[in-house]
Amino acid sequence: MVNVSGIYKSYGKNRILAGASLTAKPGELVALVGKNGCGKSTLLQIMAGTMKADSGTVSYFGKSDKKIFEKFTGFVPQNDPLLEDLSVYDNLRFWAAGKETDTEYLKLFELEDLLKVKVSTLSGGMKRRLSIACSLERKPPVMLMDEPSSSLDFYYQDSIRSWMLDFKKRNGIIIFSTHNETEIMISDVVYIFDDGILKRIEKEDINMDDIRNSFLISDK
Amino acid sequence: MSTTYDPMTGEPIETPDDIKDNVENKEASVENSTDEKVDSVTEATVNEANDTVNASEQSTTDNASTQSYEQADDFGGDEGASDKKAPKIVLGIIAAVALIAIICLIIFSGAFSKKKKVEKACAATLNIETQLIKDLKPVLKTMSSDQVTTNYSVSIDDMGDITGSVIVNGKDKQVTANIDVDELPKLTAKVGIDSKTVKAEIPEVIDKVFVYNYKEAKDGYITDMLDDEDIESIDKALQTIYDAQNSADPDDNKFAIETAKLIRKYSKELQFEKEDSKEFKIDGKKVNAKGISVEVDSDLIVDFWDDFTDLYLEEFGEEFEDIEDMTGESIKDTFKEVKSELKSFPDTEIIFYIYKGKLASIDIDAGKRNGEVEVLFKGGDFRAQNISIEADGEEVFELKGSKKNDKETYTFVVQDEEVCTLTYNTKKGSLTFEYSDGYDDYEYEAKIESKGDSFKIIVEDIEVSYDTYADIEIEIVKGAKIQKYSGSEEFDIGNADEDEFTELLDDVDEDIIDELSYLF
Repeated sequence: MVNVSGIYKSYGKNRILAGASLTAKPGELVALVGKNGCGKSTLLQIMAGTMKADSGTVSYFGKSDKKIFEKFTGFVPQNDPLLEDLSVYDNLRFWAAGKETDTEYLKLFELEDLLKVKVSTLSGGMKRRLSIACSLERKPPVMLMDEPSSSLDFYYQDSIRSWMLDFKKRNGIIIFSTHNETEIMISDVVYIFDDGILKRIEKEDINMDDIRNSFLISDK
Repeated sequence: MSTTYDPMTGEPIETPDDIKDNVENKEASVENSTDEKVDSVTEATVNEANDTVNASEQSTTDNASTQSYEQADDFGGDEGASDKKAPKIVLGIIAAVALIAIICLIIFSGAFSKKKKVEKACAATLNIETQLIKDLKPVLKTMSSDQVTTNYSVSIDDMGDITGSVIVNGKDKQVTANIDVDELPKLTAKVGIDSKTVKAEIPEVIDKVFVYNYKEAKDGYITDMLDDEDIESIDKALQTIYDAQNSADPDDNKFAIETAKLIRKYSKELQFEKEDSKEFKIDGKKVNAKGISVEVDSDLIVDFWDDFTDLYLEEFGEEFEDIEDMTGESIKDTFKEVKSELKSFPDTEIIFYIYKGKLASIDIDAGKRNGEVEVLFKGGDFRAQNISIEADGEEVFELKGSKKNDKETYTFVVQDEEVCTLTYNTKKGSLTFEYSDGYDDYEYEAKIESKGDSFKIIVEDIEVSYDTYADIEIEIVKGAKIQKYSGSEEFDIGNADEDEFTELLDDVDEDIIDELSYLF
C-alpha cells in the first residue's frame, strides 16, 4: 500500500505541489497525468526519496522511516540513470549492490546477449529496458516511472507495457507519469494534476475526452 | 523462479514458474471490456490486465508458498506453520550455525568425563593445521595490534595509479592517498581523526587543512545548513570511529569474558550419555567410532540467547542506538528475529562420534519438521580437511581438501556444484581463488609474502569492468606514525561563517579546478 499525503513543494516562490495526495494498492497501475511542468516528476522524485518535500508524508506498507525508499521503491527517471562507460552487466551489478544479479530480468528484458556491451553504445529502447532491470534488482514492490515509454518505438513501448501488466499481476504497484493514451487506458487509477493537487479518477470512469478537457480548463 | 510480492508487507516472494502459469491460466478466462480502445497492446495481455485486483491477489496468494505468511508474521515462531520441511540447503546452514553454538557450549564446559571427551575431540578436530593458516598467523597477530600500517597500491590499466596508507596508532587513525590518473593532475589527500578533531586536506587544490571538532559545540554557518540533530549524529558517529580500537590484551575485553562465563553457566545443564558405535569412512578406511549423545533443550538455547542479548546490548547498545538513528536499522529487532528462529527449533539430540580422540561425525536430529543433519569429518592429512554435510541422507555441502607436494587445495561444493576453489602453493606463496558466477569463470591469483611481522599480498589482473584490469598490492606492517598535514593554515568547518566559506573559493587553485572540471 502506498500512501502519499499532503505534499507541498515549491521551487523558490513557485509552488508546484500544494497538498498533493494519492494512494495505491498492490496490483495497481496508477497513472499521473498533467501538463508539462505541473509537478509529475517532482512528485515521483519525492516518492523515490531523491528529493525532499517541504511538508507532507510518504509511507509504504505502513512504514515511513528513512529506509523505506531504498527498500520499497525502484525509480526509473526520464533520463536513464546508467553508468555509460560501464557494461550492461556492471550496471546491473552496481544496482544489485553486491548481491547476485537477478537472471529473471535478464531474460525478460532481452539483455542476456548484451551483458558485455558498453551502455553508451545501446539504443534508447535498450537503455530504458536496462534502467528498468537495474531498478528491479533489489526487488522493490513499488516502481516509480517517469514517462516509461517516451521516445521509444512501438516495439519497445509494447514490450514495456507487457512488463507493467505482468508486474501488476504479481501484486506490484507501478506509479508512472505519462502523456500516452494507451498507458492511461490500461491503468487502474488516474490522477490528474490540477494546480498542485491531484484529482483521482477510477478505472471505470476513465474518459479520454474528459482528460483532454481538464488540461484546457487548468490552462492559465 | 518469479518474484511476486506479499500484498500486506511488500516483501518479495520467489515462486516457481509452474505456480505462476496456474495464475495466468485462471486469469485468462476473465472477459476484457476495454480491448477495443487499445491499439498496440495485444489482446492476451489486456485480458490479463482486466481481471479484478482481488481475483488476482487471491489466486496468487493461494498458490504461492505458505512461507509468505510465515515471513509476514515476524515473531510468530512456528505456531500455525505448515508441516513443510525447510529446504535442504537451509537445513545445512542452520545445522552449521547450531553446530558452532553447541561446540562453543561444550568446549567451555565442566568436569564430567563424557563431556570432557567430546570437548577434547572437538578441540583436536578444529585445530586446523594447514600451511596457509600457519603462514597467516603472524599477520593476524600484526593486524590485531594497536599500531599497524596498511600500505595499498592500486594500478588500473590505461587509467593510472592510486597509492596510500591506512594508519592506526592506538585510537588515532589516518588515511592517505596519492592519485596519479591519466589526463588529470596529480593529487594527494589526507584525512585523519584524533581525540578531538577530524582533519582533511588536498593541498594541490587548496592550501588549507580543514578541521572539524566533534567534541565542542559549533557556532558557524554549518548550524544553518544542518539541524542540531544531524550535527549531534555526526559527532556521535565520529566519536564511535575514534573509539574503535584493537586491543592486544584479552583481559581488556570484558565482553568476551562475560560471554565465556555465560556459556559455562548454560553448559552445566547439558547431560551426556554413551551411545552405540557406528561405522564411518575416515582417511579412506572403514572404522568404528564411539558415540556420545546430548539432548539440547530448545528452551535452554532460547534462555541463553536472552541472556546473551542482554549482555550484548549492555556493552554495545548505546553505539547501536546512534547507528539506528542514522540508518533506521534496529539491532534489537535483529536479536528478536534470531530468537524467533531459535524458538522454532525443537529439542535436539546431538550425537558426537569420536575416533582416535577426534570427531568422526556429529549427528543432529532436529525433529520431524527439520529433519536430520549429519556433519562428517572424513579426514585426509588432518581430520577437518574433508568435511561433508548431509541433510536427510542427501549431501548438501562438501569441503574437499587435499595436499600434494607443495599444493594445498580446498574446493567448496554446494548441492553437487563446485562453487569455488582455493589453492595455496606453499613453496611459491601464491594463493589462487577460482569461482564461477553462472556466466563466466574467474580466477584470481594472489602472491603472499610474509616476513617477520609484515605481510604483503599482491593480486594481479583483477577485472574491474569489461576489458579493464587492475593490480592491487597490500602491505601490512607493525608500527604506525600519523603523517603531518602540509596546509599552511587551518579552516575550522564548525565555526566558519558564511562569508568565510564563500572566500574559500578565492583560495582554490584555478588551474587544478579547470583540469578537474573534465570529470564533471
